Amino acid sequence: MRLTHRTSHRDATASPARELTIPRGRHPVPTQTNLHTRRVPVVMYVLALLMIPSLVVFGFMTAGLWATTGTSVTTQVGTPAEDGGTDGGAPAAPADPADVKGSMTVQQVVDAFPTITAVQILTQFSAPLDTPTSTQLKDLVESSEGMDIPAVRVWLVKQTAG
Amino acid sequence: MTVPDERTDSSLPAADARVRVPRRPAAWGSKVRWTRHTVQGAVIALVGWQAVRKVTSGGDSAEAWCPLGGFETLWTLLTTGRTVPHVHTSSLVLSVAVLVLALVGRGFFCGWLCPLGTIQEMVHKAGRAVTDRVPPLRRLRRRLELGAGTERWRRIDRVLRWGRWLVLAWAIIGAAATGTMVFREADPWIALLSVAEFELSLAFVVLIATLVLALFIERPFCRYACPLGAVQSLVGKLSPIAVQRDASACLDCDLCNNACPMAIPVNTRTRVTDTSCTGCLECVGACPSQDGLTVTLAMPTFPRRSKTTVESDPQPATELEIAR
Repeated sequence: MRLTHRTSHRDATASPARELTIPRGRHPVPTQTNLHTRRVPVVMYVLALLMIPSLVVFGFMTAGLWATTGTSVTTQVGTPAEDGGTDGGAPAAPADPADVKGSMTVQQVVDAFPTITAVQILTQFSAPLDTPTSTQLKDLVESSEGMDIPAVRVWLVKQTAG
Repeated sequence: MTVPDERTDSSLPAADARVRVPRRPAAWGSKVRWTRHTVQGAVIALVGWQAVRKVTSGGDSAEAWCPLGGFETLWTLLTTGRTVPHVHTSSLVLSVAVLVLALVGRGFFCGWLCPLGTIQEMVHKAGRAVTDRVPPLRRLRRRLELGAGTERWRRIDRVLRWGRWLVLAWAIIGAAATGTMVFREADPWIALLSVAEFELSLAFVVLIATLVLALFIERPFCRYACPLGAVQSLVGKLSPIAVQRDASACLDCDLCNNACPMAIPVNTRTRVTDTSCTGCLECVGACPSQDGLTVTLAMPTFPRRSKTTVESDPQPATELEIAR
C-alpha cells in the first residue's frame, strides 16, 4: 500500500504533468461533513490573520490602554497618555499603596504620596541617600536586604494612614 | 447523517478507474513555508531586540509581552479591579489579540507567531540536520522514530497531551487563589524573553529542558505543557476556518501526516479541528494535490430537512479526468 503511494508520488513529482493520478486501491477516509464551506485563498488567510493582532494592539494603543510597565488598569484608564506611558514610559501614579509596583521610580512614589519623602523611601531600602530618585523600586529591592515590594506597600499603608 | 463521496468508495465500479486530480504548482508549498518562516524570523528578531534592549537600556519587562498574563490576572481583575503583580495592560491587550486570533484562525498564533514554538522548530530541524550527517545519531533517531510509531508511545503521547490542561488550570487557579503569577516561575516564555540576563531560574531550566526535548520531539512544550495553546484550543473550537481535506482529491500519501509538527493524522480528518493544530499550514504546503487540503470557511447555514448533504468538491468534477 505504502509502496504504491510512494511510487505514485514519485511519478507525479518527476513528471511535468499538471495532474496527479490517484493510485488504484487507495482507501482514504471519506470526506464527511454537513458544513457548507467556501475556500479561502491562503494568501488572504495569512494576511488577514497577521493583521488581526496588529489591529487589536493598535486599537488599544490608540485608546490609551497599552502600558508595558506596572500599573493597575483602574489607574491607567484615567490617565492614558500623560504619564501612563504607551511604550515603556513611566506608569500612572497610583492613589492606593496596593497599586505600587516595582517598576515605579522613587520620584513617582513621592509624587503619588505627598506625605512621603524620597529620603524615607531610600532609608527603608537601606540605600544611600544620594541615590537618584529616578531609580526604580525593583532596583532598590535587589540591592537591599529583606525589603520587597509587598513590604513597601505595607509600609506605605502605615505611613499614609498615620 | 452523512454519506461518503462516491468517488472515494472503492466498492463502487468507479473505483477501478484511474482518477486524475489537479496538481499543485511545485513551488507553492515552499512559498507557504518560507512565508511562515519569514514571519517567524521577524517575531524572533523583535524578541531578540526586546531582550537586548532590556539588558542594555532597561526596556520593558518580559512579562509585559506575555499574553498568558492577561488570562492569569483575569479573576483578580474582575474581582478587585487590579492586576496581579508583573501583569501590565499590555499583557491584557495581547491576551485579547490572541483570543480574537484564535476565534478566527484557531492556533495560528502558535504556528506563525509564537517565538517559543519557532525556537523549538529550529532546534528540531537543527537536530535532524546534525543526525542526518552522523551515522550513529542517525541510527539512534531512526530507532526512536520506530519506537514513536508504536501503540505504546501513542498512548503515552495521548496521556501527556493532557498536560496542557493541567498547566492551564494550575496557572489560572493558582493566580486566582494566590494573587501571584504562579506559572511565571516555570514559564519558559519569560525565560526566553529574559535570556540576555542569563539568570539561572526554574523557568530557564524548563526552557533548556524544552529545547533538549525538541531535538527528539517536535514542539514538545506546545504538545504537552503550553497553557496559552490550551486557551487557544478552547476558543479555536468556535472558529469557522479550518484546513479541510477533500477525499476525492486525496492521494492518501501520508505527506500531510509527516509534515504536521503536532503529529495530527491529517489524512483521517475531514476538517482539521484538533485542539493541538497550530495552523502552520505545513500539511497544506506538503499536499501535492491542489484540492486535497485547502483552507475553508464554514458558512452559516440552516440544517436541511431533505437529503443528506455531502461536502462538495471545491473544484467541480469537470476538472477531473477519468482515464481508463
